[in-house]
Amino acid sequence: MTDDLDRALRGTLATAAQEAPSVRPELLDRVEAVRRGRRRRRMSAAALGTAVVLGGAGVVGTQLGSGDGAVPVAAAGALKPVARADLADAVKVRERWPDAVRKLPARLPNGSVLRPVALLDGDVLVGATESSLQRPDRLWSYDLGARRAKVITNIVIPGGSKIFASDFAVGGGQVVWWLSYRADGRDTVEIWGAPVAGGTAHKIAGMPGAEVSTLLVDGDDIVWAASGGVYRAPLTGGAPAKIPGTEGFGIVSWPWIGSPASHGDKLGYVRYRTIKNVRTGERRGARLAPFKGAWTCGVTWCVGGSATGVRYKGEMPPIAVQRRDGKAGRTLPVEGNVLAPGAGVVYGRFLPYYPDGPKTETHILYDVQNGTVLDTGIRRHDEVIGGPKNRQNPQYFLTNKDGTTLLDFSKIG
Amino acid sequence: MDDDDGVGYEEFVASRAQALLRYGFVLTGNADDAADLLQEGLIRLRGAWGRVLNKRDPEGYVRTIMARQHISMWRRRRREHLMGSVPERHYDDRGLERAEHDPRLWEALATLPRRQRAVLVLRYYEDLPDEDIARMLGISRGTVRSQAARALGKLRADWRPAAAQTVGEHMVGGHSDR
Repeated sequence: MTDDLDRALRGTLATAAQEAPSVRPELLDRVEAVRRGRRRRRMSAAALGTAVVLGGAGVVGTQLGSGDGAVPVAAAGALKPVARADLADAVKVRERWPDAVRKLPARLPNGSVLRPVALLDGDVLVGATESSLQRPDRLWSYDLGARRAKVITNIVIPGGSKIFASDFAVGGGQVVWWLSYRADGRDTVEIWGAPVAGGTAHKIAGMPGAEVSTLLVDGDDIVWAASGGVYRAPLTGGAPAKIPGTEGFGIVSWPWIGSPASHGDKLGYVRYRTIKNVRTGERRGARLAPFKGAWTCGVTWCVGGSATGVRYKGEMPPIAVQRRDGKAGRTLPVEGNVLAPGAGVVYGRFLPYYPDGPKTETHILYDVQNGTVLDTGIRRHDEVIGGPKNRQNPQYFLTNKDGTTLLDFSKIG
Repeated sequence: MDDDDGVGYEEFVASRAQALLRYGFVLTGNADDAADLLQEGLIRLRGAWGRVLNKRDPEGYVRTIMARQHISMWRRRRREHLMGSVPERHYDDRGLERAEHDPRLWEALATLPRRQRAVLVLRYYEDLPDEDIARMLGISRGTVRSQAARALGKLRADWRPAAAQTVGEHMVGGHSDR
């Protein structure tokens, strides 16, 4: 329940926070100086009597003495094991929601392999062809009804290319992508775009760097995450502006950004442990149940899988699922090696789930909201559904030996 | 970046100091105290860096220290301008929507006892559940709730007198299923 005062408080605090002064440049020096002075006086931090309890991942830190008596222990709900028998028979997605799974042509009428980007209204499939492996050279729109394809644009491939055109995204009548190259010993990232209706490709923005983690169109702007933080620039072109306070953050599900952003599978690692809404300033932490593994969190849900360097005594841990706020924790049974828990929850709700490990025959989703298992009926070879770059994008294109299949999460009831 | 241990103290400060200063600012309500609080928090963190890194949450450590420091007797300079600068200037970065903001509410926050204010900041700015707030401040969950209820009651009375009598348990209870 939220009332006016709650809302006003959130808004007022978030706005006020933006009014904080800038950090003084000499901050680190002063910290060092004061610290040295204190050490000389043989005063340790502990002697000041501050009680510190560290939260997170079910680990309760050291307490250095407290004035207020009993301190409640971390109380993320425990993970309730879900046994194989507890899972109801899988719902057949194709039968229940026929629009959710759709077979698409893997090639253009001219025979070239098409890497799908988006299926637009009116049955127009936007995709890229490649001149060599992962080297897109041309964007196409393929009218599936009329079986006619036309070139949207030729992709410019700069000299010294490091990463070819990647992460195509459609929005605002444009298709955008990013690439990187090295020139004069410096790496540069550029974001390019072209009208979906067809036209010359043009550079929208550029900045130093080698890689972009997520690129998407947000109204009249493009937004992307890179090693330095989260940036935006007008879709029509212009200098990138870093969104203040986004250092170390990646895009979780726009406008939510999260930190730490890098993939990690060390014991206790939590990808996107902290998230922040760049529009409202709202922040959320994660309260995780004890689990011997590593986590990936989204806006609402967190998924835990095995961690590297941990000996599991012959048995891999199950997949852990819980809400960020500590509720609805459970573990899912898996036989054999766990596949792709790092993908996290897709479209706010679906966890790619391989209950039989590598032997799982079709692509299965676990609906974290209601605990049902969904069988997409899409036969798997050795691929898994990875985490899409833009988790709000309902369209996921699966390409394997059998061709191209579109899985549209928004069509699953 | 995969290796958290490789992230040095200075890098942490460089990347998180501004966010921590913002947090200090909403906790204290004024720029000078926020800067002092941040400095104190970072000094403590420096001393505990090795230990804290093992817990993988240096930021949580500093935030906890800052909240507790603010509530405790600690105050290096006595200040009269408790209200600080009332933020009038809005954050107008292109594309970032203005959050709802009420200068009167910001002023009213300055009249709260520090612990009550800290509870509200942790709940509404940090968006922490009451259990976490209790842990951070070293108080019981019941105390968190009663402090929050008292603070909200006072704010509601000051902020919008007409609504003053609606303050009650439903506010507090409502929070848990937020």
